[in-house]
Amino acid sequence: MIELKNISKSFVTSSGAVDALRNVTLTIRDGDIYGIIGMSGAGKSTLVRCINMLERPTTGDVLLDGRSLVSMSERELREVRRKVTMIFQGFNLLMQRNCLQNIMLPLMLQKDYQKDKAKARAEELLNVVGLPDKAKAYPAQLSGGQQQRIAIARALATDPKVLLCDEATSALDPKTTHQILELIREINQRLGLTVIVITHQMSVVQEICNRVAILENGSVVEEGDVAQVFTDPQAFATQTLVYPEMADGSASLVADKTATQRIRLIFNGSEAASQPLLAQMAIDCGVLASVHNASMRTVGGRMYGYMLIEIPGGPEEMSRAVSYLRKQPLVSVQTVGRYPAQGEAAASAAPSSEEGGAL
Amino acid sequence: MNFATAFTPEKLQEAWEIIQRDFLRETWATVYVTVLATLFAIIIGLPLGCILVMGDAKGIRPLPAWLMKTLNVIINFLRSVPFLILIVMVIPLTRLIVGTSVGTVASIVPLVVAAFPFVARLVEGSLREVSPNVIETAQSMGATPMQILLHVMLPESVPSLITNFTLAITTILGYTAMSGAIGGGGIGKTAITIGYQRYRYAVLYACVIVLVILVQLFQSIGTWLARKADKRLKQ
Repeated sequence: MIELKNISKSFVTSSGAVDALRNVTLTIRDGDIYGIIGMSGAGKSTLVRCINMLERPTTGDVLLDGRSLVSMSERELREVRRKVTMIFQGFNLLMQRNCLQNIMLPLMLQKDYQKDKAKARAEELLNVVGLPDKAKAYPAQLSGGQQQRIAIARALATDPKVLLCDEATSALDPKTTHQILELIREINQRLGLTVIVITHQMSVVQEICNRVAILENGSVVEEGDVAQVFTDPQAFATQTLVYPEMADGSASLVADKTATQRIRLIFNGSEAASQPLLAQMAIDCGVLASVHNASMRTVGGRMYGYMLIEIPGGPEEMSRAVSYLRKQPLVSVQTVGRYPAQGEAAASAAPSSEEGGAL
Repeated sequence: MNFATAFTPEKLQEAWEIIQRDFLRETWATVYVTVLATLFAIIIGLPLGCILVMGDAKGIRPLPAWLMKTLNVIINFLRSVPFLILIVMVIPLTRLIVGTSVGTVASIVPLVVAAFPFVARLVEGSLREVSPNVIETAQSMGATPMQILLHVMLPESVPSLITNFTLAITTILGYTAMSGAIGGGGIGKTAITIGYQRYRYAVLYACVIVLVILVQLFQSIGTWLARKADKRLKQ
């Protein structure tokens, strides 16, 4: 378990002190794939470097399985860093060394280094990352995705307990990103590795993380289960990340403040896509709802997101619709007045996504 | 210099005899002095360059500021003394090491003294080219500063080091000609003592040609080695 306790970090620059992190407190459980997301400049990279003390926090502490890293000597920290390894946006392989030698590097740094053993281990890891034939290839001969695989293999060489991913897929195309994330997920499940993913891409969090913290201006503004945060983003920063369409401010939403008969449906992992919910409602209780807007995402094969629907007619139709929808599994129902004005304003600006159309 | 009288058949005949008599021996002396001086300059300059990079205030193993300052001052001082004057200045040192201050072997000492600060700066430049991200990666693996130097910084800068050492060897070759002026051996000495001081201009030009060929040779070998060593180039 990794506990970040009130981490603050300030840098002194020529234009004065800059607070990169302010009072960050997070708990990352063993086996989590924990996402830390934020816009550039939010302090993500500084935060992840505090976890292995490449950056020492100005105040606060990091506890790794209860041991305080802040009070450790450089020598002790070097031991810790063999168990908390890291991959990077730029892969950072040694360009003058072949893949096998790159993977062997962390083993060469160990006191009990034995070349044969290290070589065998590196060959084994080449298999794990799916590049068994690249042992003798040099990084310059590999694609970005392959280089990141080698970097992952290198990070796994010392049998770490925690893998820190600093924008590890930001330099990759969407397809390669997907493959690398799959690999990370597989490693997480097979080796029980705790993974901390730093990213500015919500899609990355959505694809592999189970928990997420949203960082803005060096502070954690929201934290929780990914499904929860996706479904019902509270902080404004989270909303702009989850529904980036809203960020452009084209929110002409309040078009109908008069239309009081609105329902917000929140999908908490229902298999809604296979069931045309609104059409079914029209048949079953004769209420014809129109979709005002919706934003849905599929996370792990299940639907998360929200849909704002309008119910024409009077209060009677409204209550029929509400009671019908409340019976649906894994869907929660809110009448419009119940959620905060800012949330509504933001939500209404989002155009319907194609998943929404399927319902 | 009178070209009309410098290249008469008799003069050329005489020059050819001098070339046959001296050139092989003197060229060998030049190569020998150049290579040895470069070697010693690297032996001193390489670690010094590493210290300059690692010990920097922002380096991976910062050393006391006064020490770094002293090193930099010494290097800058040695780099700014003209080579001819440096040869004279280090005569006591040369006597101490070689036992004499004249001759082929003795000229190695001033060459090394002149070249090692140059090499240190070249090494410094090469090592600073190594991506800070790669160094950070090594730190994230728990590498000690020494391991970062030996396993990351030096191997990563091998092609650049070879290129710079090639630059050093050609520069030192140029210096050997100057040391010929003050008792050193080699083709530079032939050029000055026979070609210039005894007006055998044909010999002078022949010496220049030999020097040009040597520089070309060293440069070609160096470039070839650097290319061969660089794994960033896709084959």
